[in-house]
Amino acid sequence: MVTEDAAVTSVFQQGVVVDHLCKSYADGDSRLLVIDNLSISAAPGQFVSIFGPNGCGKTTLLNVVAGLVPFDSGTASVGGKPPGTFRAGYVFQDYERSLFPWRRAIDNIGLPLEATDGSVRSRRHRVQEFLVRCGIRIPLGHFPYQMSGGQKQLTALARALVGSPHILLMDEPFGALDYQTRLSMADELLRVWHHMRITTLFVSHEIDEAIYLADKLYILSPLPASVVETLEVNLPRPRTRRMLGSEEFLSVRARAIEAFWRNLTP
Amino acid sequence: MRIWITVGPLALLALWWAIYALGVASPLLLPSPVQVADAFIRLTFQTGEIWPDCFVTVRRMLLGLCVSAAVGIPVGILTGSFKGISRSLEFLIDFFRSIPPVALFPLFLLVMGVGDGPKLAVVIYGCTLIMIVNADYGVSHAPRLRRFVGRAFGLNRYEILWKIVLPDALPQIIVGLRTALSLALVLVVVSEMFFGTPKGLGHRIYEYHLVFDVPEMYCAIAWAGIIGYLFNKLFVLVERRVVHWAGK
Repeated sequence: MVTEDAAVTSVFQQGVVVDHLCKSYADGDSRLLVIDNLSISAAPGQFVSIFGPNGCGKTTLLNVVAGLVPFDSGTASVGGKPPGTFRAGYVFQDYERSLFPWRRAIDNIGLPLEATDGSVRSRRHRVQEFLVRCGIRIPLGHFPYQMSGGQKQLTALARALVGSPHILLMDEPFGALDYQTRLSMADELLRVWHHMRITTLFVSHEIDEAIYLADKLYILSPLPASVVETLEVNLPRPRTRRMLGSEEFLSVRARAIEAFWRNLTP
Repeated sequence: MRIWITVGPLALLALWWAIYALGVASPLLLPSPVQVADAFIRLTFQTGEIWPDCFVTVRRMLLGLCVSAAVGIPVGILTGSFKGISRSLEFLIDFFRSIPPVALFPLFLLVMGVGDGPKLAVVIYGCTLIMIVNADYGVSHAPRLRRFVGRAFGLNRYEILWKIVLPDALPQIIVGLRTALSLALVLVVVSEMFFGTPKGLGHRIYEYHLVFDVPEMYCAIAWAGIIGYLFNKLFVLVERRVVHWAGK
């Protein structure tokens, strides 16, 4: 469609480069290495999935890219800028608690606009406009405790995107949802993503979902995290459920699982 | 099912009556419900002489509570936000909290003389510490994740404090206010029993006791209870509206 192609040239498209990144945490007297010489990249507008075992430092990786935690060595940049100097839209793993329970959906979504826009009315207006543009439907007057899991997830996604971020970071966003909601959320995410074509890092521990969404898939090792395999997903877009059984999908899946297991069992 | 709510109070009333009628307790110490009701109606509606006492007690309670909140909440936010300040004040707060506030009343009397001063001081002393502890707890136990969210979306330190940490601490701050409210009433009534002012429910209870006006004494006690009950109910109502999200 013409309108979607126009979105491809959106000004916020930026590439991501993470190069030889190392990150450790203080652990008593010693230091615990969580990311070890990790290098990943995403071309502007690319959807990149990061798949790895639980507790392998995936969340830390996103936090580093978002500029929320410092790192030891290496580089991380988006559009050539270091973390903290660009806008990152972040969908947190615990998205439910990441919403503010004292705010209605509309004001939760408007949070990223507050740094630049002091008027509540104008923010709400922009939120509504944005949601209409993306075709996201959320009961805007509801508080989080009045919403379903899927609605809360959409609210967190909308909040991440409303401020026209340079990059979208998603940390196992569908982990807490049931299978049915999960599938429809993945399609909803792809639909919105097609509108914006925003560069996306998507962390997951669900392999089908990771492949289904991605242009490129990184398989990470157990702690400390490093890349053990990089796989291109050459499925056409828009993705459809039927592709879940396609040859390309199954071959990527087989190689991904093989690499995953190889590094899990020493 | 609503009928059950009246069963307990009615049973208590019946028990009271039975004890009185059987002459188990001295009628001087336990007058009949009718005598007490009579005194209650007289003092409340006919002469109305209990009103100034109620008014003075409530005023002291609320004034003390307001000062405590105004001092205790900011201090608690400060100690809750900065580990160093919290660690350095930890012992002092725990120690002073262990002193029963009324134990300081004579000291306050010496320093401030008779009048409202020492009574307010006792209330403020007790309630400020409660407010500090609760605000501190609320702030220091606010989910780290939500502060992270604020940073991720470009809020500065003050915005994070004002828009995230404070709302997160609010339910606990309100719990502190409610606890302080109950304590404030206790402290006001107790301190009014000492000499110093001619008004207040505590003073009135003590005076009636001195002259053996027992039904009147019960009436004044009942009013202290009514005040505590009503304010607590009011607070629960306000709480449900203000921190509607708490516990959900």
